[in-house]
Amino acid sequence: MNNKIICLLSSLVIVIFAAVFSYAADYKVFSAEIVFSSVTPASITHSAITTVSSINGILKAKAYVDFGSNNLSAVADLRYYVNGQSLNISTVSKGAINHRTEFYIATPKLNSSDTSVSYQLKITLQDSSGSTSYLYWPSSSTYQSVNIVNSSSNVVTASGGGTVKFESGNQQYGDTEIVFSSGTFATDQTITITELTLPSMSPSYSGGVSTSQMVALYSVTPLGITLGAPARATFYYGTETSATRFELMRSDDQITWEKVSNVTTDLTNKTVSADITKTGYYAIYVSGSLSDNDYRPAKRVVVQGRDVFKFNNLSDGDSVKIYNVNGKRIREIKSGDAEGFKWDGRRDSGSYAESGTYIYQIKVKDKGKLISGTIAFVK
Amino acid sequence: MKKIIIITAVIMTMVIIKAEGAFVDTYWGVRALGMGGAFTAVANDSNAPLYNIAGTANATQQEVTLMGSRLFTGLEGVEIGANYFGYIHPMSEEYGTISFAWSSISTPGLRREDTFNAGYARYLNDVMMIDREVVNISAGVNIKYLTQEVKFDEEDSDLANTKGAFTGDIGLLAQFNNGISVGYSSKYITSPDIGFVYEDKVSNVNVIGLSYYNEQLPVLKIPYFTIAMDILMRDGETSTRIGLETYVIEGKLAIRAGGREEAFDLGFGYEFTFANNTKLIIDYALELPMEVEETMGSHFVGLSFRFD
Repeated sequence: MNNKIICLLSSLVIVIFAAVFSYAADYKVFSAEIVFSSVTPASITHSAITTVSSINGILKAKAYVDFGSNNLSAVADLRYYVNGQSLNISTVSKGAINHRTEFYIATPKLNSSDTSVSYQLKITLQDSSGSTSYLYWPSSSTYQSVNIVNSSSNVVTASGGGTVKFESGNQQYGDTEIVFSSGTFATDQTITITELTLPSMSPSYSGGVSTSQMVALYSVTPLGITLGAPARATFYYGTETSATRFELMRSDDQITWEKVSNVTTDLTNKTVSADITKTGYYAIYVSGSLSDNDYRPAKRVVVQGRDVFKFNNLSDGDSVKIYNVNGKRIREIKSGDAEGFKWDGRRDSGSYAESGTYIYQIKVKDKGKLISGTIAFVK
Repeated sequence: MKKIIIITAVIMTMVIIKAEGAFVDTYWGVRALGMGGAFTAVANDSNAPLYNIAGTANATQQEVTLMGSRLFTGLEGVEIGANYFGYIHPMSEEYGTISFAWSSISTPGLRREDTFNAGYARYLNDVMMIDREVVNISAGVNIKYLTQEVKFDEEDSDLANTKGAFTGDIGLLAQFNNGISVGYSSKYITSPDIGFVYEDKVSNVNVIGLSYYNEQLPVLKIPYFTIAMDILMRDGETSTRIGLETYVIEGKLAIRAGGREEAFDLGFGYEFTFANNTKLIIDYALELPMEVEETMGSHFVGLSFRFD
């Protein structure tokens, strides 16, 4: 047989193999099922967000979508304006959803200089026949106004008590609030909860939480009032830490701190709660000696431009090295770096690394060993 | 000889191609790893499909190989495994050799890359009318399907978890009768896009390999000695890999060493021969990273089976 014919036949075998493989990869294209369109009636259930914490800075809406069928696909858009400027859209897509589905849709972290946000939810439902339905909240032509604030006040009456609530604006997690019972104050009292910017270096405390990291700081004013009855306080500590143990500290001057006892932590809502007996400054610290996980980034996969890896509870003298799976170091992050202990996927040279799995090694100056782990950066 | 010069010139021209992207080009095949990955000009067994597909034309027996590994052992919180399967089937010198291979590198619950290869290689001496007493020239082509799978966090649940694409490799190998071999492999030649959100092209990788083989190295008297070097270009960066191999105990026990900029490799293999020229080969390689700290290295174990 002619050699060229042999080569041709062999190439043909490979092409057939590739074609079969391609067919196998896309076989779903040929599957079909008959589904009668039943996208409607459908509705959105959502509680309006009215404030977003200026420090937390993320508006995250929770919405339930109810409809009368199975196996719909849905695209949920959070359409929002920041400071009344151009329209932005965050999108979450889901396939094969059933009857009632929960969506969380968030804005990126807002800037500290932003003052207001207005938003609208738009849900697009589609069944396998192509029938489509659009749902809006509040409506197709209106937007919900949200104030970006750092404090909230309420009058607590002497006779009935009251609640002061400071909403985080993140409906996936909890809010900060203090519930005062009747008799807490002799006269009606306006109480204000203010979220404060964290100090650049966490104040130290020698009572069991030394060198730990402060993750949230609030003032409950007027300062220095001793409560007539304990008030139940819940403080939101945000999404910046992956720590699991916390301490609640109180101070009159942000210099001398005392530990609040009987603190409970709600990891689902990212809050700590305790009965408090005095107004003042309240700070949430990561508790005691930190475990390795308290330093690791909470997010293990980052898509370029969407987020960054945040290494937690690190301070002066600590460092993070990033290696590719070939064992080549591509980035070193030190305490003096402008972005802090964060990695956005860039090499030391400034260019983005390729998509892949990466190894990090965290060096904490007070620890005898490195903390290692794997993360994925993709585009 | 003029044809060889022309081929070399074409190779050097193609080498300047650059692209951006993912997919690991290390860790495949225990024998190759023991030689530091310098295998482009050595490729002559079931490790060849991912190094230089042209090298599969050298196979004289069918061969199946399986590799398992654990990378960067000793690091708490790091669990990365690389696996490889290769099969080559030489039909005849006229018909050439077909091959199939699968490679995978994964971190459970985080991300994995898989590559499926179907390849064909053949000697070109008859087509090019070059005397095989002087040089053996072979060429090959791989068709590859690449997939990457990522377990996204809830916040990125709008993204598909898997992306895949077809691409290909080409390889050339010239083995001179004085023991010198020159290989060239261009991988991911179409630079396919496997991005989840943005364009993310898999890098085109170009490798030139040189090797020298002597049944007994002069002066040092080292038996069945091979020294090899690969020059690899990817994303505009160049890296070099160097490897050595010798066979002792009547050619049964292979001892290997090699390395690249970021790692040093050691390896060995032992061949058991059974009836009907059937062979079982057990290989092991240890890679010690230069920069990653506190690791006990990456360990690779392979099992190969050759039969007529």
